[in-house]
Amino acid sequence: MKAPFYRSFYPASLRGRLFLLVFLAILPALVVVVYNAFELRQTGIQMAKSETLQLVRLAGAEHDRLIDNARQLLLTLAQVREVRAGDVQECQALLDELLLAYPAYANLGVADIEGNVFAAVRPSEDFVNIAAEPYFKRAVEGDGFVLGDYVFPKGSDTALLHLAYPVRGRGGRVVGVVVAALDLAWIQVLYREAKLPEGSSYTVLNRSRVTLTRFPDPNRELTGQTLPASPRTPHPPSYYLEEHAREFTGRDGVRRFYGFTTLGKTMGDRSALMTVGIPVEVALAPSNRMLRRNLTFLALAGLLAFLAAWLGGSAFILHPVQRLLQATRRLESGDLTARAGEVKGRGEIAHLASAFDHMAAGLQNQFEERVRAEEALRELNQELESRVEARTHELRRSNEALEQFAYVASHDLREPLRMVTSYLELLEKRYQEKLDQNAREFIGYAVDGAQRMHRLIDDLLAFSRVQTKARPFEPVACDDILRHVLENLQVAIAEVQAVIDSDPLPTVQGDATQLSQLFQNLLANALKFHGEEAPRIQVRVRRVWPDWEFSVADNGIGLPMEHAQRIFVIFQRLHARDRYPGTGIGLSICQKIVERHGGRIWVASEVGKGSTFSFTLPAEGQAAASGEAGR
Amino acid sequence: MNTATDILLVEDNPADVRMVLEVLRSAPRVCRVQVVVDGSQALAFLRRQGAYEHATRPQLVLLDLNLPGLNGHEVLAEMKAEPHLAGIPVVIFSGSRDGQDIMKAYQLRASCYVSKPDGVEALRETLQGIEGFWIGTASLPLS
Repeated sequence: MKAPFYRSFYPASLRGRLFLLVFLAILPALVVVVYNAFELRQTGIQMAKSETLQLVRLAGAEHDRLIDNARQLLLTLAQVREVRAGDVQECQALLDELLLAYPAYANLGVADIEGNVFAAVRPSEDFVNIAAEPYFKRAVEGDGFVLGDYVFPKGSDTALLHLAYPVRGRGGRVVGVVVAALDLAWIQVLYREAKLPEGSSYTVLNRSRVTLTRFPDPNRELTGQTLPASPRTPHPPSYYLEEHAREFTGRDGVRRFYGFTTLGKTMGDRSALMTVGIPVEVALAPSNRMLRRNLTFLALAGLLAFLAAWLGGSAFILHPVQRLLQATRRLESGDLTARAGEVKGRGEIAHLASAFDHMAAGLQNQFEERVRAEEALRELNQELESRVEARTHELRRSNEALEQFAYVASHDLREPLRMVTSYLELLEKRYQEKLDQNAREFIGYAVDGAQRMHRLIDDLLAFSRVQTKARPFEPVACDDILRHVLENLQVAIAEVQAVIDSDPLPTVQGDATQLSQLFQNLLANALKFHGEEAPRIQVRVRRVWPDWEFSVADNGIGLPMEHAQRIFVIFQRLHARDRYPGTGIGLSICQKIVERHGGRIWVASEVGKGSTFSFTLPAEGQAAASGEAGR
Repeated sequence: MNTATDILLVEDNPADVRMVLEVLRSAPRVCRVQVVVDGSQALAFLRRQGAYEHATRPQLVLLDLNLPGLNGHEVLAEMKAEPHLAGIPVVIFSGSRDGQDIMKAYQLRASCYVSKPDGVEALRETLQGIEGFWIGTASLPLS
């Protein structure tokens, strides 16, 4: 499954999460700081713009006042008698006096109708004959007050504005012209008084975009130059003739907020354009400064918060959690004495630790109980084992006793019997003439009894040998066993003309000698207890998982089913001895052999129809259920 | 030429001794049977010790296994350990048909092992067979 996308940056560790929380807590402060700085910046921009506008407005007003004053002066001067009379000396004296009173004028002069300046406060080459000047021509034509253009007089780098007014003689005829010249030095004064911040500037352009004056212009490179047209200052600059403020990069490469206005507006003249600029950097300095300071404070506060989160997180969260984790790992690795311990307080972690300790204690108790139970079980087992050992020892002893009995039976019991039979025979032989019929009959019974006892001893010995002469189990091919048994029984088979039919027999796990005995006993019984017709004996086998089930079926005399159990008891007989001889040991031995092989044996029979003896044997390779030693 | 055969019968059961003597009495060859009833006596007889100082050295020993004191196997082992007795044929004549008894007897170099048969006639045939073979047929070292 693909992890959700946020997983990639969502911290997995507690410390990481803690830091994320701290960051989230600081975030609003950061937003506030940035927003404040933005606000302050806007205010700074507004303030800078309004300041520049205020100044250009003031300059416009001053400019208009100066021109108005000049008009008044010229108007008055034109009425003065000496001027109208064209008296050179008187005019010169008057003008000099006026200049003392109004030092703001760059020049004052009077010219005759021919344009010859006959009186001037600051005589210069340019001011000898002004007949060619546009303002003179317009004044002579009787236009009244004439406002000229800002021009640079020849050989001067100070722009001057000339103002003229016609002088009328008797009869209203124009006889001369009075002229005043204003420079732009007043702007510098105004600017200085405004105390604009460092890096501020002002510029005055005339209608032809020639720079009339500029500050700063340390090398006077820009003064007198024509401002190239550009997308920012198109020509004619109709739109920026209106009072406005905007931001752009000046010719000196400094970006400023500029205020624009035109000079001479009140007279409908608009002869010059003035701009005042305050550097953006300066205007924004307070907001930038504040932003820096606030960011610094915030960074410090954030650092402290992170430090507190680190230390506090370690002390109050991470350390206890890690202790808990370590305890859990120890518990996981099987150390049941592991406890979170020492996590004090009432918080969730303390609760968790105490819950963990309870759980661990519970586990430990359970484990210890189990260990105790196992210990008890082990002790019990040991006791059982020792009892089994004692019992086994006892069994071995009784087995040894049985073997001893077998030896005794084969040797010591036979001796006296042989004596009985031998001496009875000797008696019969040696004293034949002296014994009557009865005596010989009695001796016959005695011999018969002794012989039967002899057989019983042999059979008892054979029965005991099922255990004492047992051999380890090995794979035994039952087909071979059956063939061998049929060879042994050849004579008996021929005698009763029996027909024996067998399935292919499997290989089983067992003791070959004993299995031979088993098959031989069962087949011999089937031959022995035959009925009227010739015996038909069928040996069958089928798989009854996990064993093989064999059966030997005959068509003999059968037996009542109420005796089905008794026939397997040692020396149990169902028939008269003279009819079917035998001690009654065969089936007991069969049962003992089958049981030793971990199987069982039983009979199904019907009187007169026949009997079927069935038994089970373990399949080859399968461990026998019998507790047989020697494997 | 001495036609009588000297036989040492080691047998503790008087009934058995009597039966053997009865059967051998009617044998074609004359048998002189000396009887001892336990292993110690048998060895003393063979070594001509004590009361048996003048005992005749037997040509054949019929040795029962189940004897009081030293049993048949032990007597056999002693005999075969003594060079001058090792040449006497020893027929183990026992009621036991136990395989271990038989095996042990042959391992101890018994000449043969014969189980005591049932019945007088069977016994007669058996003993005559033994005597006929070991005295009449088999070659034995000179005493």
